[in-house]
Amino acid sequence: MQDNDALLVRRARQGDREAFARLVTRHQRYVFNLAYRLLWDYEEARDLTQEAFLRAWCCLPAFRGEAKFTTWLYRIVTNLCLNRLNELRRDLLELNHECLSAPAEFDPSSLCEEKERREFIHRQIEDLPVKYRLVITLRYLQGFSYREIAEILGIPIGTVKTHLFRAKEILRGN
Amino acid sequence: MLFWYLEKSLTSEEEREMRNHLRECPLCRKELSYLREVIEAIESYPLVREPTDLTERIMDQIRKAGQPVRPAFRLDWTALILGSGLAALAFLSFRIAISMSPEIMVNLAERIDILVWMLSLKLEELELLLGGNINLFLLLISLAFATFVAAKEVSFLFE
Repeated sequence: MQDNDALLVRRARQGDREAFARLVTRHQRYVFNLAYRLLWDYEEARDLTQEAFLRAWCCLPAFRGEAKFTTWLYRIVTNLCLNRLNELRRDLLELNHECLSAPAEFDPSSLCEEKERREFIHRQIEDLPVKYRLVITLRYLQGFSYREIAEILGIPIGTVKTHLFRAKEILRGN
Repeated sequence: MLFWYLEKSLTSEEEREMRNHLRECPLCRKELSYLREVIEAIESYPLVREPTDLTERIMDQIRKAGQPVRPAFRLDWTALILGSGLAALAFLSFRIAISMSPEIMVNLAERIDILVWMLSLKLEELELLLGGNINLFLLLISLAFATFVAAKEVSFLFE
C-alpha cells in the first residue's frame, strides 16, 4: 500500500494527474472523515478535503519522501482544519470539561447494555476537545503510530501520549 | 498502566508484571475489559460517507489550478538572480551602515543571526503556506542567506 503510494507520488510529481487522482480516491474517505470529526460540518469537511488535496498537489515538489505520504498529507489536513476552526472562532485547544454532555459523576460502565455504552462513548467522542479528538482519530481511525502522530501535529511524542491518555480518561467517564 | 498495556507501550518487563498482576486481581481484569470496550467503541465510531462527486470536484480544481507539478530541485534562475541582487544590496547596506555606528551594528548582527535561525525553523511551514509558489520561496531563502552572510561579515570585522 505504502509502496504503491510512493510510486503514485513519484508519478504525480512529474505532473501525472491520473496518478494523483488515484491517490485522491485512495485517501479521500479518511481525509474527509478526519476533517468531518474536527469540524462537525459536512459541507465544511467537503471543502476542506478539496483544499487539502489541492494544497498537496501544489506542494508535491516540497514532499521529499522522507516521511510517508499519508503523514505528510494529514499534516496538511490538520493544519488546514485548525486554521479553519480558528477562523470559525471556536474554542481551540482549550480543555473544556463543561462541554461533556453527561454529568461528571456519571459512570458509563454502569450502563447495562454494551450497545448503550458504545453509543454513550460515541456521543462523548463528539464532545471531546479538538486536541483529543485529533489524536484519537489519528490513532484509532488511521492507525498511526505515536511517532507519526507527533510528526503530523508537530508536537512531542510525550504530548501525544498525554493527549491520548486524557482522551481515554474522558471517554472512560473519569 | 492498564491503558498502556492495551496500547502495547510497556516494556517487556512491565508487561510481564502486568500479566502476573492481572491473573491475581479481578478488579484490574474488570477495568481492563472495560478499557478494551472503550477502545473498541472508539474504533467502531462510524465513518461518514464522503460526497459521491468528491474525487471529481478535487480533480476539477486541480485542472483549474493549472499549476503543473515541477520536478523538485530544479534551479530557478529568476529567483537566483533576484536573490543574488538582494544579497549584494544587503551586503552593501551593511558595509555602509557599519562605518556609521559599529557598536550598534554588532548588536544588530546578533539579532539578525537569531532571526535567520527562527526563519529556518519556519521554512517548512512557509513552504506549505506558499502553496507551491517556489519562486517566492527560493527568493525568501536567498534573502535569508544574504542577511546571514552580511551578518557574519559584520561580526567578523569587529572581532
